[in-house]
Amino acid sequence: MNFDDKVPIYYQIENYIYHEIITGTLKPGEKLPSVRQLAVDVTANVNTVQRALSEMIAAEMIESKRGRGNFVTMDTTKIDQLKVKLVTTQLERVYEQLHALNLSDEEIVTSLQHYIQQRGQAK
Amino acid sequence: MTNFGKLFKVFNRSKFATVNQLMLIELAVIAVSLIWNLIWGNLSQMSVLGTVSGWSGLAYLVGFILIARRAENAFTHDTYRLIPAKDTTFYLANLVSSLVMFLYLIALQVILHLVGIGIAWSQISPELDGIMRLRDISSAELAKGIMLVVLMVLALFILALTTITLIHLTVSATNSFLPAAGKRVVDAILYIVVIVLVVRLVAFFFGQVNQLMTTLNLQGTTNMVLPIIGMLVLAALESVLNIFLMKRWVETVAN
Amino acid sequence: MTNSLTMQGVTYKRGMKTILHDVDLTLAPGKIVGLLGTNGAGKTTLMRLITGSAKGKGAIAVADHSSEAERKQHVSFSEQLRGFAGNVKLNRIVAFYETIYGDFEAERFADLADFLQIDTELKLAALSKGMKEKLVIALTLARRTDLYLLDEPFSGIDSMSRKKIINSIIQWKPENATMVISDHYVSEIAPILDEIVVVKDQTVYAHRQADEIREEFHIGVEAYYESLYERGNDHD
Repeated sequence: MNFDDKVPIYYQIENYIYHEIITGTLKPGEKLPSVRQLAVDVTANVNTVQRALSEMIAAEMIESKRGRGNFVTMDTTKIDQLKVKLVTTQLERVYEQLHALNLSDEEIVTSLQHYIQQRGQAK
Repeated sequence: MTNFGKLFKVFNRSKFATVNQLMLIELAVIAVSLIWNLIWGNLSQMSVLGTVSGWSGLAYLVGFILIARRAENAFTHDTYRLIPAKDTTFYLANLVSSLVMFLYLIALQVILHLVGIGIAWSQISPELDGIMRLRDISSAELAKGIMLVVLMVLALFILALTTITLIHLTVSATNSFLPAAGKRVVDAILYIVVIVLVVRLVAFFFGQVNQLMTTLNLQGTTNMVLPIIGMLVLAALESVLNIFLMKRWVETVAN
Repeated sequence: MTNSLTMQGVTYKRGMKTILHDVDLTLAPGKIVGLLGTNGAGKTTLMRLITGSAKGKGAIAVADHSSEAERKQHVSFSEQLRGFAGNVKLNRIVAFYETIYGDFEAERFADLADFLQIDTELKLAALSKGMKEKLVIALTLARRTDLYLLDEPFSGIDSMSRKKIINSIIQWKPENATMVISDHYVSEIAPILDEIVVVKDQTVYAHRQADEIREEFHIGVEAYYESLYERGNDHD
């Protein structure tokens, strides 16, 4: 995994695993690899991976079962919420940047529609 | 912590290989010499003993240098100095292993000589008997004489090793911590001390051996006990200094 | 838990020239620490002081052991095998390590050698630079101890070997052990570091958590490190 050196690594690992959960690579209730294995997979420090997992456990996206490992939450509404949250974050960024270019709300919607159409044709 | 036995083992390993290599070379040289004799038609019953005696002096000298080099190598290389052991244990294990490996070299030379003597026995045994009878020497006295010479050689060997180490460690310590001018002064003093020491010791040793050889006066050998003790005491003092230097000043070659 | 390393007021001079002065450094257990600094800043010297290979003044303790002999027992240093002759076979070197280090685990070494693709039938002189560095890493990590010191493990090594070495560090570092990795090129190891220690002006100039730098200054470890040289003043 390629990290952005400017962003805290634990945060990037968190996002990476969230991404896997939302896209279904990690299914609800599925067991996560061991901390060390995750560290090797993403090429990061065990402590950093542990910190990312702790944050996710605190957010109840992951459940830690003593002696058995970490599991993706079974609560699908939580996963849906997470998806909404991540989508919102992305949209927020686009919205703010387009606003900074002095686009009105309508103009943003039309330009987005136009863009999606173009992308569709390109495929 | 790594104990004496394990240190001794690893110190032996490298020196053992070195001595064996030297022996192979010596055997090859002896073989070539014998073939040379054969070609020129000089091969006789005495040839093996003569050739062995001729070359073994050089083998001792080269063996000593090689063993000393391996021993000194250990003091300034992380490969050895990182071994978790006290400096005293490290130093003694290294010294004892050098001594044992030198004994091993002596044993190999003795075997070669015995082979030579075995081949030449019918020729030299009457002569030997004659000498023994003439000088009125019992075999017990002869054994004692040989023992003393061996002890003398070993004491000299130990002293030579501790002295080489002392010089090496002093140079190493001053190189690290003294400015250039100080280094030159220490080097100059060391040169003088070493030259005096070597000349004195070699003169003394050959004096003793010479007396022994020419006169075969074994009574004179009792004079050798005191110098042997003296050399060992000096070696012990040098060792104390060496260990102190190791502890406080001697660094390894940078990684 | 006891600290993996404590250095207090450590000063080192060579021929009247000060190389390091007043070094105070404490490392907690279980960390991966990047030891950064320009070439000749004193990174190697700092490691050599810890192992006792260089003789300085001041107090040094590794896992609470302060005598030199005991420190050596608790430190595994990436020694470059200079004490061996070139014609020695690698399995002889492995046997040497096994004899002298009570904490050297043959099985760990076998796993590491397998992972790093080291052929122990080869002779030392036959190894390429990258292969030799892999061997050194495998020998260093095969000991199970408290403090690991890797001195510039990536210098002159191709990117494939570098990745393998980084992976073996993650995989084989014992949980409570601390590992110090010195490097003058930061970006390749930045993601695996918990902390960085910068050696500059003959002393420990900065000691910070890596993610703290990213959170506080919104810059990368490398940019932070470079900023210490550009501005000459600290971020504190």
